[in-house]
Amino acid sequence: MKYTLHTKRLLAPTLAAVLLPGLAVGGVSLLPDEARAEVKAVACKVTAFLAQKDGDGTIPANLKFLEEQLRDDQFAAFKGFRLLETKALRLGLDKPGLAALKSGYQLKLNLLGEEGAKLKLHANLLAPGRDTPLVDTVYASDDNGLLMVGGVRHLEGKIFFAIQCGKQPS
Amino acid sequence: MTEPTVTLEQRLHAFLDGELSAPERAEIEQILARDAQARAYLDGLRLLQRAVVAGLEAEADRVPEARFEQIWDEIDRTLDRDLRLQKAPEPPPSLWARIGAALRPRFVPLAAAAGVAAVALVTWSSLGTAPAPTNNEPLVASNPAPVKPVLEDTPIAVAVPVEEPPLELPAPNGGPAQIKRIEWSGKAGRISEIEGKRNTTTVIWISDDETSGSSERSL
Repeated sequence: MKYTLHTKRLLAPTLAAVLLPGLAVGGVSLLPDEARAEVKAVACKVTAFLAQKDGDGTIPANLKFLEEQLRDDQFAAFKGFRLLETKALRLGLDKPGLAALKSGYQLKLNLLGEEGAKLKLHANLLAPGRDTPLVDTVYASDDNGLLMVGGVRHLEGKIFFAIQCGKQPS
Repeated sequence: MTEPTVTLEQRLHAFLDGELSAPERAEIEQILARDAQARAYLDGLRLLQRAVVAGLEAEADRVPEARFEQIWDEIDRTLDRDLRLQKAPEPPPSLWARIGAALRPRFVPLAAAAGVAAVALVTWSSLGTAPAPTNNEPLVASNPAPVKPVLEDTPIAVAVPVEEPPLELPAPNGGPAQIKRIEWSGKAGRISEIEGKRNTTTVIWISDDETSGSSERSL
């Protein structure tokens, strides 16, 4: 079988064009998910609690995980704490979550991705009967890190929201 | 080291052959003007030159045209041979050339096999992966009232109530949150941190005091 010069010149690029895409696709397909991209899903716990000036300073069991924060001087003005509600949200990239609380507040969370080793999130807190959010923020938090938002008058005290998000296997 | 002496005869030879520079030619012409012996020698040289040229031309006239063609062909062949010998030896075949030469007889079956393998791999990968969710609507833990979209980045079309199972997260840990952007609408606020033993917590305090317009703080 006799090959012309033209065939010789085309042989290498043709082989490369045929073989390399297969190798590339195969290589990417065989990579473990963890090695591929950033976080795709997180689970978030939203804890709404009421802080009041009246009370004996006792922190209820269902708020014990916040004891360190509630014992801080910044909360010294409050002597009573009461859990209002806890919501669980599972967020994905481009899949926001909405915690619609019985108190009428709505907390919307959106996973924006990962920045360094931190989760990048968008939080939007809407008060009942209002069109504009009380606060709208983009923040980066450690895995299972805690962010607290609140201080707005509610019932006989002030309402706070503790937001904790942790990575979830996608 | 002394330069070899150039005799008058040699200079006259050069004069006859047109090999002298302008000053040298002027000098020889001055010599010829005053030296009869030099003029006679030069005349002799001219005669000899004419005789030699005439002899060569007569000799050339006797050579047929075809012989000249043969001579030129032989010269061309000699030049070509010399050029080929002077060329650098060809470099060894490249890796691609060697791979190509090895695969040449099997090129078509190999290309077909690679294509089929690539398609099979892609198909296998897509079958092995759970289908990506196509519903981007937000999950709603409870639904007490109609929801008006607030997030600008990801508009929420319809809120579908979904009860999440109880969520168990480890105790809060890590450093403070990094606030990238924050806006308070119609209210003031401040940001503080609470340093604990296990972690540092960022607290966004929303003030009840109404402020003029919107209070915005971008970090």
